[in-house]
Amino acid sequence: MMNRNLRKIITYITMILLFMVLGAITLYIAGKPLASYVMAKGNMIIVNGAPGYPGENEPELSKLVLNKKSTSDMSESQVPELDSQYGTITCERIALSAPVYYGDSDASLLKGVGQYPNGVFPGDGKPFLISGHDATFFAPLEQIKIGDIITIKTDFESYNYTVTSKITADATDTAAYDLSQDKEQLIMYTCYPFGQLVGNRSKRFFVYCDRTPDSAAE
Amino acid sequence: MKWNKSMLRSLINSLFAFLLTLLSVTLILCAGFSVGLFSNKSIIKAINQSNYYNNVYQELSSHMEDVVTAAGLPSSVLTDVITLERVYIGGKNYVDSALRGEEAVIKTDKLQEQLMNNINLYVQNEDIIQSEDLNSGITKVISVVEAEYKDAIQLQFVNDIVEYRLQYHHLIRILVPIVIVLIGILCYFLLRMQKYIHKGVRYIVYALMASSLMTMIVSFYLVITKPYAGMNVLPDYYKKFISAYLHWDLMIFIYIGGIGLTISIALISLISYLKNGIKNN
Repeated sequence: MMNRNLRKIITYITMILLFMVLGAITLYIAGKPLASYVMAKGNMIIVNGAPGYPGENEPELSKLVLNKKSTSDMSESQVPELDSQYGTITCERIALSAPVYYGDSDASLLKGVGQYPNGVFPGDGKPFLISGHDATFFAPLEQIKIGDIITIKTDFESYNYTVTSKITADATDTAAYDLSQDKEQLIMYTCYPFGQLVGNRSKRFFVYCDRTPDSAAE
Repeated sequence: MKWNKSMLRSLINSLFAFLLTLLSVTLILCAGFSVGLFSNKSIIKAINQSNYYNNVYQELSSHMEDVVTAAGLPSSVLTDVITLERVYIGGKNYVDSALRGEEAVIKTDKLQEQLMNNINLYVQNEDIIQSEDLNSGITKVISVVEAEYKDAIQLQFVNDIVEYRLQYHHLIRILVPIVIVLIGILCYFLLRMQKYIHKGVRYIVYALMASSLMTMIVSFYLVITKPYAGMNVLPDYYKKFISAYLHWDLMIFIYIGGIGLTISIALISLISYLKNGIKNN
């Protein structure tokens, strides 16, 4: 009697486990394309549904500042405070528009894109790095093409850069950029793959831009 | 020969039970998505659980301060402009309208009026000379604040979910009846193919337990490992809302799996009851 009951329990467990394993394999194989589609759609809904705060990036706001602070002694050589906004970056073709902060802290990257604080600024004739989140301000970079024009506008001047190349590299790959070059180069980077919510985020997407000769002469 | 026949019958029963497992999983998924992912209650529960509007209010206040400061105005001009009550009511109305599938209208007239009064008061108190530039700057600030408020209140995610829910409802209107009919046919054959009905019920129990456990184990795994907690979305309060929403949806699957297990246990009791009936006869 005991053996019969034990045998039945073992049969129950075996059958259930067998169905579970076979069921999981079948559903995995048959449902993978559908699951991938649902995951991609889900990611898209989540990323697109995120609220944004684009207002700070409104260049027209500075009009009031100009009215009140007409005696401002700010000069071109002044280095902005860390984590403060010093300009905006735009690329019309891909609808990129973001405030540029000096410093790439989490707080800055929440509000816009952040420049690696190495004391180099647009117009200085040296390379500088700007990073941003792939799900927010730098999401349009996915559509960037060689030849696109990037504009950085500060309180003093507007600087144009032309995209010359783009690569994907490891986050730890310091060979992906050379800040010791003697030419002005805007290097933008963000996490890769774009819009991926979970999983491996150890890749970076780099976009290299050279100063456009016309703007250099401005 | 007799052994072979019995083996063939067992094999067919097992095959039917396996198909029943797959169909049960499909039905559980449909039920889970209807009760969880695509239900209004799930969205509202996640909004409340993540303290969404309170966080929106705090984030929005901070952004508004940046906006007015960038325009050279003191943050005091925002007094009574962005209030928790306004954000909560505005947000709630928006979500309610979106969940009903209606176009949500965000009212900003009172906000604009209050901000305009505050700025005018500040300009008067500070003896700032009125000029065309100043007036256009003030108009710009008000329009930016209004746009920021609207952006913060809007929860596009809900609109998207409602849009996909319509498509999902079209799908399950066809899929669920088919699955239920197929489950019925398989159960009928499993019960009819046995000399004693309890043996057929046993195969149904295998299928129901396997599908319930499969759903529960996968959901448990996801609830414990929380892959959604590492999502790369901003702002933080939105991430909290999405995490709460997905967490609740997974819990729904665990509950449905639990119901399946309970039914399985009830069916095991039924098997004992049926067997006892046969013995007594």
